[in-house]
Amino acid sequence: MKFVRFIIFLLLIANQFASGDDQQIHSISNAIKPVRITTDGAYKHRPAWSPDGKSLFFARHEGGGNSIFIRILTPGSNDEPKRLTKRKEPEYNAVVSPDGKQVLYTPITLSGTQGNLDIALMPIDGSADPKTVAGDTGKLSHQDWPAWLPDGRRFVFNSTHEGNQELYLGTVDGSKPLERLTQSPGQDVHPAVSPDGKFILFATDRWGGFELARLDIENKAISRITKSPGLDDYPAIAPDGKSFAFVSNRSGNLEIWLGDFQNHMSQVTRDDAPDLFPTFHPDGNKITYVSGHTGNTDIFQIAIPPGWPTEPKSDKP
Amino acid sequence: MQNHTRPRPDPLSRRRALLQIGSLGAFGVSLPDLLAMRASAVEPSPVRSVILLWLWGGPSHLDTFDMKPDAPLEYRGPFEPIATKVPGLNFCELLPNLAKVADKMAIIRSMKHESNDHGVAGTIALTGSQAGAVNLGGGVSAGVMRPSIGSIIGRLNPRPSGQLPGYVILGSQLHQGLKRVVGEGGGVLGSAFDPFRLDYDPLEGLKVPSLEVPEGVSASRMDDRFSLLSSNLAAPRQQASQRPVKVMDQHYQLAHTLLTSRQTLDALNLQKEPDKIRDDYGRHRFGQCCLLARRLVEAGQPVVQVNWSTHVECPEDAGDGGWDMHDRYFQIMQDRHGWMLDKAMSALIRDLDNRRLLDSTLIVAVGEFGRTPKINEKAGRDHWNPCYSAVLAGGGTRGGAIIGASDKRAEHPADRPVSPADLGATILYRLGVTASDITSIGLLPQGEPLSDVFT
Repeated sequence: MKFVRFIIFLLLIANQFASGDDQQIHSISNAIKPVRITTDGAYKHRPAWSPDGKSLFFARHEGGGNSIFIRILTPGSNDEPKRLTKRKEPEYNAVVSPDGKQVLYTPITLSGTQGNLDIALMPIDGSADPKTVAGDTGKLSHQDWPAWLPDGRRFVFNSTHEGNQELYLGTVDGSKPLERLTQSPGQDVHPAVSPDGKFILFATDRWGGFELARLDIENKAISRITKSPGLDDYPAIAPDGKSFAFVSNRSGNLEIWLGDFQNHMSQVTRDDAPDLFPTFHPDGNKITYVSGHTGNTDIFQIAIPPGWPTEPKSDKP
Repeated sequence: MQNHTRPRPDPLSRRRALLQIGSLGAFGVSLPDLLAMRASAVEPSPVRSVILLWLWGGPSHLDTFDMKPDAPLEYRGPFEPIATKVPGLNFCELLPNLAKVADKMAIIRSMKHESNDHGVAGTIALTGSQAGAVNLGGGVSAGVMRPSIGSIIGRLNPRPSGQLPGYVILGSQLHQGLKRVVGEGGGVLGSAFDPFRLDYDPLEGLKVPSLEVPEGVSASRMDDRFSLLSSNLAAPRQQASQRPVKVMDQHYQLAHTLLTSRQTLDALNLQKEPDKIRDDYGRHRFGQCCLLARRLVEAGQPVVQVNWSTHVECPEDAGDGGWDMHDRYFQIMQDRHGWMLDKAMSALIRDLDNRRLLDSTLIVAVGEFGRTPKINEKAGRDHWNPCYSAVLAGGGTRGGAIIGASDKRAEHPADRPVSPADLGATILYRLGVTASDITSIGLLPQGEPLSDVFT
């Protein structure tokens, strides 16, 4: 018994040394080289993987900045990323259903001097026309940033249709009315759903600047996840549900960070250009994001070092 | 290193001469003008160039240079202020690089004028006057349109043959929706003093809108046109009735000239810039146009205007990325506009400073108005002309100066309201243009220069 206790003691000591050496962790971070996935340099928006990891969806500004179209890239292929739709009006925010067969996205209907954003559903192979699953309810409003629940029947999104930017829960078949999930005088945006479908991470300014919050879908309880002097936004939850990537400027620039729910936080990217829209590769080992660190704006991917996030969290709520 | 003290006509000596002969009344100069002239007689030499960063669509003053962190949530927005290099001066957290060069900038926080229509406000902001402005409905304001500052400079200081005109705009003709916006041109001075337009597309490179081949016209026909132009150079001057044709041909001629001028081509060749510099500005259109502006100034260009966009609206709203974000303001500001402005403008200031050109170059960044302090129902901000901000940098700007003030919710000036005419007079003042210069070309002076912005 004493021998077992001694072994446990040694393991605890070893673990403490391993997790307490922040400098070593930072040096690993500096050594990580992101892999460039696109090279055209045009502005990109919200990359998202198909569940099988074979296709990468993203929106790209085209036509001298006059258009935004969703493109689908097959990594490793030299082909020009193909269009998702044949629309002439802007579209973005494509996310693929858990079964890989459908896609939710944000089509924009131009209306003179203001766009009108809805959320539409279409088969990934374009075999049927898109249908609007969240649209205007009486006045021009903006439904945006859809995210699937794991059941493949429901989705969350942010919308201004009730006069403020809030989160809502909808069903793709329209069988239930939209359910409002948040209520705050500020902005509640960019929901990300946990793999078990029980909670959402989102960005909110209800406590001041943008911070990350957790919302339990069942009882709508909200708890604060981050508390930093800068903004924290664009959360993405890892496939195993144990960690989350997000954007923060707490170190000065907009960088990708990795956090967990046990008070650990690590900075993933370090450059002097904005890094935005992180999403996990389906294998859970890589983060895909948009970066301007080469001067242009392209999609990059960076491997997550084993054991991350490991740094002690500095912003306890 | 550039020689930024090269010989040029000295407006100051002209002012002194005027003071000596004591005949100002005959030039229609008012007492404030006289006092301004006397004050300027002991001031440093005028700047050589002005770069106007035209933030078309109207950026929010509350989310850039006049934050109100103590205002209610529905006013202050989600962004937090950050400290700058100047104690007590805060910028939006999305502008960290500008915060590092705030000691080279002055902020005017009490800009105001009388219109919240992009078209009218754009004309007011660019000419200092509403005269001749066209609103969204097509209505034209009374009066004859005044020239923009660049056109005034172009008129006062004609450039030698073979050089670009004194007034260059990097960007296409401004639009509100599908309507063209007026105010960038010569106005009453005539279209001969309209800007010469260049542009840069990150994917296509340098563009010369004045030289764009009309749809259905082949390149060989354009060459024929150039040949015709060349032969016309020796022909007698055209009649006044042919003026539009003449003006158009002048532009074609200029375009042809610049494309065959080694000096001009060098100035426009971004490939000559190290990658590090190009990256610093950002490879997006506005960033590379700011770099082009620096190269043009370096080559002696007096007035360069960099248009943020052609349209006020974002691509989500049928535009090409303007600042008119009635909805999703904060998302777009965070995703694109904030860091693009921060990166490009801060790089421009640093780059000019490193080349010892900042003292002789005045940078002005402003839009046609600000945005509503109260956030609207679409997570955006609407037009707000009663109060907004303008930024000056370089050109002898008193670093860290704050001119005027807004009230606690940035709704109205709380101190020292400043009009676009005042801002225009300030730019002309730093370019060494006097009231008598203005009257000598048939214009009435307008606005009061903010001489205390400068050291």
